Amino acid sequence: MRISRLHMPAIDVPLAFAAIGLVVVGLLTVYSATSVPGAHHGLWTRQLAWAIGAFGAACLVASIPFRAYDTLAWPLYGISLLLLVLVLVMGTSALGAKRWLDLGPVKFQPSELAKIATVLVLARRFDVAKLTPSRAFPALLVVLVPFVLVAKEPDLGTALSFPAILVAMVFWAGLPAGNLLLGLSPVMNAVLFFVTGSLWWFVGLFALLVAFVRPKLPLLIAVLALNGALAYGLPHLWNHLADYQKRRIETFLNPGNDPYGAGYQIIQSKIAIGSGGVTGKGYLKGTQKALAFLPMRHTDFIYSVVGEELGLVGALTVVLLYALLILRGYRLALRARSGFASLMAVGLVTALFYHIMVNMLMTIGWAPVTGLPLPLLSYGGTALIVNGIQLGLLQNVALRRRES
Amino acid sequence: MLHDPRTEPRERRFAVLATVAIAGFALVAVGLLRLQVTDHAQYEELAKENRVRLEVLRAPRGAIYDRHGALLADSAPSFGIVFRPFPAESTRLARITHDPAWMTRVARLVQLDTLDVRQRVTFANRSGQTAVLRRDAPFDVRAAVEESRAELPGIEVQVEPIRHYPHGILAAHLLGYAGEITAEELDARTDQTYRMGDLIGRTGVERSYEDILRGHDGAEYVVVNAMGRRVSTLSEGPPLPPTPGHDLVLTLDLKVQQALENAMAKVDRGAAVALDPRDGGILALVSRPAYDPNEFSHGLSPERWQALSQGGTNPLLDRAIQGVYPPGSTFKVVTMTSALAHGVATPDTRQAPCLGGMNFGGRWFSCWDHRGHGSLDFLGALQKSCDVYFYQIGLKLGLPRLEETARGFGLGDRTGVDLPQERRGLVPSTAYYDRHRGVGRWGPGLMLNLAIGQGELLVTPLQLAVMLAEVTQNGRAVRPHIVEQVRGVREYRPARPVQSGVSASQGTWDAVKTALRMVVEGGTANLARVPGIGVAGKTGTSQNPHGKDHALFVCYAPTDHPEIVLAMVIENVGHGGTFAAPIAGQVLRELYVPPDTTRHTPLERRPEIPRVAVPDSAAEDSLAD
Repeated sequence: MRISRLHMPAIDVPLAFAAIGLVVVGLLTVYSATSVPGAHHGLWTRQLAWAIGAFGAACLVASIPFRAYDTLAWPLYGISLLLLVLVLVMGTSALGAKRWLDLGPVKFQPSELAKIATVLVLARRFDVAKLTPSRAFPALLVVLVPFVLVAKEPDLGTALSFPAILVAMVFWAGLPAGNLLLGLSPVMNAVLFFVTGSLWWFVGLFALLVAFVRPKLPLLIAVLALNGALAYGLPHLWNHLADYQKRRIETFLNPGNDPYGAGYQIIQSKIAIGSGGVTGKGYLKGTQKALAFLPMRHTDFIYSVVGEELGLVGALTVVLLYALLILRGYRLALRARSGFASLMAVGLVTALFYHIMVNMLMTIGWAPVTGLPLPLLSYGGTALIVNGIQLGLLQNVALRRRES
Repeated sequence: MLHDPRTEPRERRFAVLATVAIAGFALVAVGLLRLQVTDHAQYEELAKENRVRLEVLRAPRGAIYDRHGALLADSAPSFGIVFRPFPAESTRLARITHDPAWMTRVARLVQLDTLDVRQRVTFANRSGQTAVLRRDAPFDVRAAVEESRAELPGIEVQVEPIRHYPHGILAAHLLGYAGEITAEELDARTDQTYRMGDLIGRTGVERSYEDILRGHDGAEYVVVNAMGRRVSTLSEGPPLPPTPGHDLVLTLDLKVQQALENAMAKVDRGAAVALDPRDGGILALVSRPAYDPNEFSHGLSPERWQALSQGGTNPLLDRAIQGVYPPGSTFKVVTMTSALAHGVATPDTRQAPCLGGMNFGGRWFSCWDHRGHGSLDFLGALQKSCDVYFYQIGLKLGLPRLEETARGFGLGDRTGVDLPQERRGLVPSTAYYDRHRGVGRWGPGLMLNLAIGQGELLVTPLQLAVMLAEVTQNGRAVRPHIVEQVRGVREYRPARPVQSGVSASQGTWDAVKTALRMVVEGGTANLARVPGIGVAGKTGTSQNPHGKDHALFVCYAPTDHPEIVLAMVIENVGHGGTFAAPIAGQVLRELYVPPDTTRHTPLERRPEIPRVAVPDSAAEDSLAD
């Protein structure tokens, strides 16, 4: 062995730096966002307490050998499903959706826990020499159950993070990208149908895909049959619905269509960011009046406050910190010797990446309003603790990257 | 790691993941550049001088028509006093509107409760949404607001549609009313489609067809200046036009409704229903005491609301579907049908003669007519409503068979009418008596009371109408319904009946119908006779522990081709034949006898109906079951 035992693996410093930097930006911005009249002052002290708690959680999670999580995957998954059912039965609603469990002093969002548990179960399942379809397919069910439960809350934004995790992990486990895309084609089919209202977009895309991938005949027939059934069924189903039912589905798919809440917020958010310009209006000097109407300027729309007060410079700095976090995370997956640890890292990082993208694209008006917070920045206890656990697990992989 | 066969493809896959991540962040960067560099000037302008405000474009609530297209409810414009909140950073003005003293002043000006105003203003300030402080404000309030506008930033007069019921009190219970949604209701809803200040159907058709009537509000983004005045619309978000609610066409016939309202005009408490027996469409529905639904549109004073909702006579109660009464002798229709269908008796079977009562189990069960009816056949027994005859039939029939027939007629369960909060009524079963009196602790003696419609039996007036409608259809079940058609929705169809119907031979139905006809021709209901057409019916007088007997009557006409069924209950007045049957007679005469020159036809005239009766404390216990 040429590897020197003096170079004991240590935590990933750039990753830690990015995370702590983002939490600090978050604290400062929460302070600024809640300093206007009529807002909850002093939320930043609570956020600070949560941040310290999250740091503790991260250290704790990092110190336990990851093999323990491998063993605990299924029990954790079971518990989180139970909690998700509990939320639907007796959850507390905020803004019309049941997402929270009230545990006395704290409220708790079980979908966050379910995400981590699902990653662990998938990592355990995909940790094999060669991923066969018979092993990959049941994983669909592992993802489908929490997806449906969370979508029923209704929280489509969070629910969609489950398939995103699955796709990244299946890809990382070795399924060829072409076959993966073919497998995903029914989803593309449905989404394109609802977005464009016509089938031809999908037909063109599908033809291109087949030409590139050149799948084996049985797979091609199966995928074609599935898409054919969908293409026939969807418009049929759609035309059968009453007007108000259609509108409900549209609002469900794109809450921005609801001009009261979401559409209004997006416009306010764009004004805030746009008026910030290159250098911003200065910290605590967010003169822009618009965001004060947003009950969520310290949570979901915190990035708009960053953009307004710190300008392009600040907003891009935050983007760079996130990019550092995500790329270092994927790099850990690349370096880890253990298949389980590597897969776990990919799942966790993808979950983070999904949340970051959905939130940031929302604040600049390029994605629907889904109510997802920005990891590490937004005000919120559960989210911050869960982010701490996610990062602790990543550092765990860093600490033990030589272990198999 | 060195010899891991997965290492090399792993590096390629890492490259894919990293590329996706970088592309994502690059997308965000491009978005930021566009907002903060390319379009910076435009957004800075918006942020500096003006604010963007969301203005709701109210969707008109669907109108309600009778079956011939006569208007029963629509929306009319009115002037409301609204508060438009300022953004919190519009510091000076926003501070003013957060001040309790300011809120108190506003409350005094619009003549409303301070607490209520404070609640609405606070909510508006928190949500940024416009709050309606007062709907349909009277002229003096509007004038006062206009005068002191400079001192009351954010307070404005705005045109708001309100619900208008052109016929006032007519069919009030059936149409229902729409009221402003409360904060608790908003919290309880999960669909997030209602906002503070929205109307929501509370009772009647307004409630059961809320989703269809309501429509969808639209919105537009308006750029306003520092004082809240409109400067321009925002090019960014094109206005979203409101989608009006669907109009409803009811099965109700205004002519029949007016006739029924007129006939019920002198009734203090009671209800009446007219049904088309062929399809179950409700032609008219009246409940007394009544109220004017327009009152709710203008906003009720707390005292007025108290009087309406908690007054002893409970005017808001729709007695036709929410009042339950012992059916009395009207139930003999069920007993007779059941006995004939099960072969317990034939139309000419005679029982032991009526001597004004009979002995059973050591107790004397009297007939309503103490002089006695002597020996009667079945038809005569129904015609004279002889209790003694029916006591004996009840004993021979037994509870299970009688219960089965009653349920087949739709009694003891909700009819499934498309109106909210319908009551079930009660048809006792053996299990019911086992539960309430103990197994083995009740005997056949109960059948005497049940056979004549007393005892535990409870029905709604609508259930009685459905029962008789089924008789006209030879036992085929009908589902009562009020909405005939939803305009703009092609395939609206009433649901199938809840109950199974009653199967019996044609001979049975012919006998029952003949007997019902005899009741009107020469029996207890001759006050319901109408020249020119045949009427068949049954009176009822139900004893109840709350004063005088309730008067009941059910009938259908014309006998050769039934097209209307009437059922009515008049509370605490006395005999059905004396007090209920004449009301039916008046309705049928108004509908079927051509008006002559001496009598004024009230069809074009609004009915003259007394206002809500004075609350009467000694009432209503009979409605609790």
